[in-house]
Amino acid sequence: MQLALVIAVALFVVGVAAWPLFAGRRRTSADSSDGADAARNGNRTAELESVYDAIRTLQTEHSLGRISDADFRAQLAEYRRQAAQLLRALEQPAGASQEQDNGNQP
Amino acid sequence: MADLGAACLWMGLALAVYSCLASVAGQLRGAPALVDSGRQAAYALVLVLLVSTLSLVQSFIAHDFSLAYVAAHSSRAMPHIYTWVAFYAGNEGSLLYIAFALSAMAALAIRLAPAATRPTLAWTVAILMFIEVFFLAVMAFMANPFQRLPFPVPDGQGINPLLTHFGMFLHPPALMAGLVGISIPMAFSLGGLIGGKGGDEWIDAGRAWGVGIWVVLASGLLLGSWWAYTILGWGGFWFWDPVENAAFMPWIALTAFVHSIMVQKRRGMFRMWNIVLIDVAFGLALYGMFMNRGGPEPSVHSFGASNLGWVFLMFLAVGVVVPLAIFFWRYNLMRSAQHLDAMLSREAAFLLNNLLLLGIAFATLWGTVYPLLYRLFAEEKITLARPYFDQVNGPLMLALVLLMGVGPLLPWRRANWQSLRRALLLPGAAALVTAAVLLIVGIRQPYAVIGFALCALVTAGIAAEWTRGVIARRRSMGDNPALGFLRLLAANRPRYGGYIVHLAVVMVALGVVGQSFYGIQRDVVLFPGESVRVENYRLDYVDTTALAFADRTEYRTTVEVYRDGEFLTTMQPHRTFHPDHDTWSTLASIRSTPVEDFYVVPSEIREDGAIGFRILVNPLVWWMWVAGPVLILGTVFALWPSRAPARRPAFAPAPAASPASGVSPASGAAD
Repeated sequence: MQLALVIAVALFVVGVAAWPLFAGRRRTSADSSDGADAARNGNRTAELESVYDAIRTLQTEHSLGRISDADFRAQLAEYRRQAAQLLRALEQPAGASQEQDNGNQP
Repeated sequence: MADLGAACLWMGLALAVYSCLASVAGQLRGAPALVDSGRQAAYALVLVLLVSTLSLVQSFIAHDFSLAYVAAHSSRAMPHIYTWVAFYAGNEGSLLYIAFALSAMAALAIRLAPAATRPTLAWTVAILMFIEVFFLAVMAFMANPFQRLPFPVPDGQGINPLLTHFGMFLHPPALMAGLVGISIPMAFSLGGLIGGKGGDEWIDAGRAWGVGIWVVLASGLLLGSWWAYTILGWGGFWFWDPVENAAFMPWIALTAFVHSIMVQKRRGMFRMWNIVLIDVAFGLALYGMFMNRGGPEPSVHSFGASNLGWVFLMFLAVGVVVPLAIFFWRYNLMRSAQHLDAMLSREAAFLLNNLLLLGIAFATLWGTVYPLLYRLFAEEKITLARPYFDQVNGPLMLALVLLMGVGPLLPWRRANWQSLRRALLLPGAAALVTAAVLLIVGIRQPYAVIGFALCALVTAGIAAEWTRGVIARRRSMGDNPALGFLRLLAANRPRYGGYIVHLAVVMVALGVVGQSFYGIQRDVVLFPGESVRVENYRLDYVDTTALAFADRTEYRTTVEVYRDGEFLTTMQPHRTFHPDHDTWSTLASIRSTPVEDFYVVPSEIREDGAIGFRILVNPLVWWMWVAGPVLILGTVFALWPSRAPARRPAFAPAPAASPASGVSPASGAAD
């Protein structure tokens, strides 16, 4: 009984681990390029969320009187510029934006 | 079932080796199918280790004393409820638990990995599986929980009596999972570096796992303190024991990391620093495992003598040197996108917080390691005990609480003194009033007064912050206070979840300060019918009853407690003899209130019928244990994913907008 279970578990895990090696033959280079685009877009979306968070916090801090109007305007302008840059990059078709990926820091 | 478990252990080792090698080879050769296969093997590993774990648990339930591990850690008389505790009561079972916990966390981390980490995920998988290989190989070759005895024994030795406590269901699993779980954020950071990504790609995964692991470790430490408080019978909750410290240090380093990673997420700063911090936390976690498994200091918290110490020491060396080498190899990739704008800013407060936390971690490390080094070179044994840790860490911890009060009041980038003064007005006044009241009622111990005043500062700062936020929402959106408060919290979960966690830390600080400076202890010997006074309490010793069980004799002592002459309660602390282990255990009886604990434990049963009692009055300790659920609540709240990702706040540009710099009036749902 235990031997049968051992064999069943072994066959199952070997099947799970080996499956991509057989299924992978059908993969094309376009698939990995899609994956790279998805990673780039995922990174930009995360950065965009981060910039939005920064804007919300900036608004809170300004409404609580912790930063001056001048600082608020200067920082907001910078965040808006970063957000616009990220939005533009996200709207570009896949593959067209590889070169301008870096440097969008909130 | 044991043979199935043993076979699955070997299968697990083979899968981990394959997953590690396939991930590396697939990434180097640009073979995505091989990378996927390595990842799938990591998922399959969870299944085989689950089967292995269940097999061992089943062997305990079935009293399979042909297994050396089951015979050493259970007996027929052991209540079934402790089967789960017995599973990880020794080195072998706890290693299986660690391997399974790491495999489950690794599978979850790989499955949920953010898109930005995908290009280097194979390296992350390889690192996690390399760590798995270590644990599984140690088990397979040196500490196999499925090893059979030459002859099955009719009954086992039984579980260590100190482990028969509710806290043991959660404290060891939480600590072990927490220590090994530090591998996850470390693997994301290191995997990114190996793959040539030294930027911010890993920080979402690093932050989420860092915070999650942080709360698991914090819960484990608190539960361990509670266990020590109730069962060890000395009346305290932290002894600065080297093995306790070994679990405390990685948590401190991780605390620094979960703060610092926020700066990288918000400002793109501290890139190198965050990688250093997570590597330090990982190194300290490995040190903790070494101390716990054959390290040089015996402790009630460790697994006793074992021959695994040198293996863990070697793995510690690898775990420190390899990340360090990769760090220097990829040094140029990690330049931060931003720099510190001003020393009076949230970022600078985070930096100071990090320095204080690392100061505490390294003072504790020095206090732990120095006696070992001294013994090595001077061949003489010395101990650095509580006075050293109190003197060094006490002021650093007070400074940390102060910073916890001031830091959140500072804006990002640059603050000005005027706005800081305004923000500090109410919290500062609360701190001063608290200090004045304490001095008036006769509390003069400087550290205690400062500690309580700082607790008031932090609490008032958070309350003021919430109140101002609710008022601002009411003004801009017309929310009623209750709804406005909930919406305020929901609008910025990481920030307000962090505040809830800060409140939990204040609760812990109250308990620590109260017990450390105003705890009262009396040791007395009483015959039945005799009484003793401790402060405004009177304890009447009634009698002791001996109850014989198959594996122990329990002596239940009945005492009646009066306060200011009024009957309060009847208490029944235990003292139990375990003949199989030739040892005594105690279970204190504690009447706990938010003001103080009345704690009584029989420390000695004398032949003439008298009982030696240890009686304590510990102020504010109740708050420490309540802090645990609050801590978890705050962390879950901070990590809870937002329903509407990337929701555009007011003032943010619309899609396809130009980077205009004008400011328009607020109209959206910003906080």
